Amino acid sequence: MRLTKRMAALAAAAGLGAGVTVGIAQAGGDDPPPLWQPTITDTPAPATTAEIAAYSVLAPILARGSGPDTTQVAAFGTHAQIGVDVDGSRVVDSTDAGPIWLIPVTDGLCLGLEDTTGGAIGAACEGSDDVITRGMTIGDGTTIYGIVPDGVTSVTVTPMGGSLTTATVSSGGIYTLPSGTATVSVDGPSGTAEFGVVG
Amino acid sequence: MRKARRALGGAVLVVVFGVCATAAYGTSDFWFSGSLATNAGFASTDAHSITYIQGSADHNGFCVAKDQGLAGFDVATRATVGTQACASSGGFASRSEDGSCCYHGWIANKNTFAISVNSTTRYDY
Repeated sequence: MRLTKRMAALAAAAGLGAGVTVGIAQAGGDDPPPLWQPTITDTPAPATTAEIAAYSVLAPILARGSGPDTTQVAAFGTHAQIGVDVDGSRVVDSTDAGPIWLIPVTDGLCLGLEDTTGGAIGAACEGSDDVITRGMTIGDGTTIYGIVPDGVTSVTVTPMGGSLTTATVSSGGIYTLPSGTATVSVDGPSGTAEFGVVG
Repeated sequence: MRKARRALGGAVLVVVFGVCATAAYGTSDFWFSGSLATNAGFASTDAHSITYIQGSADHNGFCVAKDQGLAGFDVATRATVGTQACASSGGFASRSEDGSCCYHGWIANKNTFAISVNSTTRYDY
């Protein structure tokens, strides 16, 4: 009986095959869920206690002086609508093009690469648990920039087809890798975590 | 005459409302979703003054950017005019851009397998 039902289902699927395939490609309705999908909201989501414990730079600043220009982070927040906390965003390092930002959003954190002259910012975002455990990365097509939790001073990197190397972490928690595919190992506060990077 | 004036007034209101709505929210082009093959990229058909690009997928290893030139499919390693934002370890990448004219939206899969691009992938202009 179970086999008959399966065969009927297969026959129906085969009969509709082409149409269904086109429908999915266009609408994406039955696609697998995205790796991480933030809640759509305009309400800023300040860093959580757990995020601040892992990244002390995110702690609230009670008496703020003249801080860094947040124009690009604000523009990102307006468009993305994922609860970007502009005031709670922090500069953790810089590239030749501009600041590197750690940006609190709903249920996660983003790492942003600002292009100050170009009036632009690239941002990659991940869920809180992953970022607290092993940090996160963003690529710009040439370099991959990673951030790790407080206290991590180096990470080990094994490029695809290559041998293990060590990447030094800056005082702001940032390390860099050349674009490509690699496995990164982070000895963080909650133990050793290994993850793949592609970019 | 009175009817004509009312109709004209209504038309003006509709146009003003439309302009305001466009200025406030812009327009989005959800230019690609579904399966994206290994080492493939896809550029939007239209080119616009892009202010924002967002990509979301079921795997890491994809990049978004604004680009000029060919629309449609190409290899993922194609050099883009705009700087890329790559979701190298997560599933969400975006670029907030300056709105200069005119660019295609671009998304590329740098993995050795196909990924599923989410339907929230879009650019605003």
